[in-house]
Amino acid sequence: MDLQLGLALPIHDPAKASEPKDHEGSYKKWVNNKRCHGEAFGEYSSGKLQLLAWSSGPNEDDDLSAKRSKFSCSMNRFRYSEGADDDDQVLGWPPIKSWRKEFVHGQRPPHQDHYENVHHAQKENGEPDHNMFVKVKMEGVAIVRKINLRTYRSYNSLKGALIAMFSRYNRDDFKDHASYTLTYQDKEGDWLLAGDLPWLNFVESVHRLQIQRSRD
Amino acid sequence: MAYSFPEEVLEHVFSFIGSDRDRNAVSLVCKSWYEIERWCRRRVFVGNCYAVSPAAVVRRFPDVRSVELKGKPHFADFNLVPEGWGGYVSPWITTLARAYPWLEEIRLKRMVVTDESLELIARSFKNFKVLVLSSCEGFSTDGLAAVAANCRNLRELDLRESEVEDMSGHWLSHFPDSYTSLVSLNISCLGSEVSFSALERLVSRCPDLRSLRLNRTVPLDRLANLLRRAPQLAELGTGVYSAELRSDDFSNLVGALAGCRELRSLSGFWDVVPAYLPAVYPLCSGLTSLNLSYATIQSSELTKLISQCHSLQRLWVLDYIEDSGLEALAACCKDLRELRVFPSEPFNREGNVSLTEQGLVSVSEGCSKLQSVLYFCRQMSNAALLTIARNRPNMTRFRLCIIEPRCPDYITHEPLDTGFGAIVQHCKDLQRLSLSGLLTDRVFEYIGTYAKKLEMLSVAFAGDSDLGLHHVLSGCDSLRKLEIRDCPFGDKALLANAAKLETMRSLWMSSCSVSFGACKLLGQKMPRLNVEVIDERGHPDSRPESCPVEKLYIYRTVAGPRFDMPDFVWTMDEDSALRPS
Repeated sequence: MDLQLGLALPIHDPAKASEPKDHEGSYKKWVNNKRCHGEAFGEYSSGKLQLLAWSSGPNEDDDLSAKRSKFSCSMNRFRYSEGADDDDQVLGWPPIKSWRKEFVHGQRPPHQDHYENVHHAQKENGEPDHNMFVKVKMEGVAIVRKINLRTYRSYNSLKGALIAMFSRYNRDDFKDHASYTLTYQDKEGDWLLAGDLPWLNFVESVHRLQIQRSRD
Repeated sequence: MAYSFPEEVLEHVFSFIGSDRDRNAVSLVCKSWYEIERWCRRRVFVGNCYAVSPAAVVRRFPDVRSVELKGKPHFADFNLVPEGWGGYVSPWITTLARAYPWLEEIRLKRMVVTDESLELIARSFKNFKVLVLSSCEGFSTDGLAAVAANCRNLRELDLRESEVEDMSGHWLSHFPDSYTSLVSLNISCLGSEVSFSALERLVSRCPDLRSLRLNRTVPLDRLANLLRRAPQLAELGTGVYSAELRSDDFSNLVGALAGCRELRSLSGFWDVVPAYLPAVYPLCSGLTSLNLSYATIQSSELTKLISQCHSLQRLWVLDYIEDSGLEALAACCKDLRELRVFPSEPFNREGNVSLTEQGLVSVSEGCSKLQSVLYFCRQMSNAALLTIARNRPNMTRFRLCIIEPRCPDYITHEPLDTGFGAIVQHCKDLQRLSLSGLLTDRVFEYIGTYAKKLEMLSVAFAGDSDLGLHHVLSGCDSLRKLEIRDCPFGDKALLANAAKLETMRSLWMSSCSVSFGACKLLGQKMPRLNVEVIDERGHPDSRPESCPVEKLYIYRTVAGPRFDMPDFVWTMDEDSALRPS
């Protein structure tokens, strides 16, 4: 076994080597933890398993800027949208398990195409989808929030929840329902006053919501 | 050894030694202990199915009752391992079936399991009791039907987070009428409807059933019937929680839940409607585990529920809980050990909820037993991390994900080095750490210096140079698993710490700066390591040796290169190094 110190790729300078770390200790620990037969490692116990000595000085031998540019190239390869939901998405980031990700989007797990079909067919038959997330903006509050309309049962409960939700961002007194107006944008893009349609029809037609202080 | 105990005595003594680590230590004492230990080893855990061959395991341990195997790298959970990478269980099952007719337990994680393997399990083991398929794929309900039909003594069937192809919801009816031994059933991952009548009959005739985790197709009005048949349940995963309920159905559910006096763990709650939550209120005081991570309800309702759960030890929840809810948690749940907060909108850069570092700070102040954290948020500060570290030096698992990569301390705009440094410095028993946010090489210096018990480290979008990786590899004595993505770490650190890699289970590096040449050298000189390059652009030989590889997976093995590599994986053994490029 030829494992001498300083064996390295041409870009490195073994002369700059610092004293190698004692690998004896960590090696022994491994032997103690291993599950496999000891004989497998017999010839291996003489330490010095560096293929390249670490030099603690600056990396004068490798061209850092070249490395960086390589790095950024490789970064760019992974900047593509995976599920076509968001345009600037990094694959595998944030680290959410794929089946949780599907849940987040209110869908069923992947690789079950015929169930997807059943799912869509149901929707066409007029049966409601599980979740109905829409964006809500409150006048004067920077943050836009998304809510699931399916978790509400009436205009009143929705309005109450929105007022409570936004109250922490705003010093105004939010207690009075009547002083706020709820408007919504329908699928055609028109902004309308909420409350005219029956609740279920409203839920089906909302694209986004806005809540504002009444002008009067 | 004149005074040596008889073998039978030693064997009896060894039978009290449970942990794998201790059994391994015992087997290294001398040849006779090695022999005695191997004959009485009943459980085997293989953390990487490619680290040892099934034949070698069977040869050394002739009478095993329980086998646990892991397959794909952890980053497979996040789609970083291409489809078809490997992790096939079939060669293992084939060998186990021949060697261990009395095998009772198989636990698999991140493996590809075929229906044929499940059928072989069902046929081969006379007294089979436990099948856990965690994050596995490749099988269908047909394979499960075979297990149901044949494993008369099955106690546990757990399919957590697996991808199961649904052929038929009737697989449950394959459990014979005489079958009564079920203790734990987790089918929460199944997409299609199961047969309710079969499920109800099964639940009725298994008096020892303690854990039942349903899938989301089970509507709330069916739940009451199931619960009345199993009042002894300790763990329940509900189905969908939002079906339109008539008021008598609702009171029926309340009654059924109240009858389950031993319930300690609740999960499920898919599509939960707040109006139905009061049904679980009477159970709250007894609950130790609550998984609300699918419950899209707002902070106020979550808070109302959680603040009644005074015995809670584990909480999984969406970020809808917000800082205010976590503050209530800190005030009410003094027994809390584990907290996971998941993002409701992970792909939304702007926040949709008021969840910040403050929520975690509150919990670290209020819950003195907290030791395990997974926390997704959109802002963090060094000051907060320092407070958390000081509050909770007993932390063993700390995973923080700031959703925007390379996000600095939002107050000072500094890197989060000192914050994470405080975590590793104060939490002396830290075993698992995930980093995020803006980080320089300095944080890795802290980690290498202080994190002496760290076993698993996950790194993304961090560091400036090889020095960072060098600090970790040369400093973290207990490190077993290291996974890195999108970091400027390269050849120098890797080659200088080649020996360290043999003490670890595995190293994953993707979108880093390791050259193909370094991979070749490593594979050539370290025959006990499998150095696998994963590159979907084609053979790395077609590019210059200095070109960084896409993904690199290195693991120690006594089995040599694997034989089931797909055409985008290359192993860097001596042959490949000799091949002209």
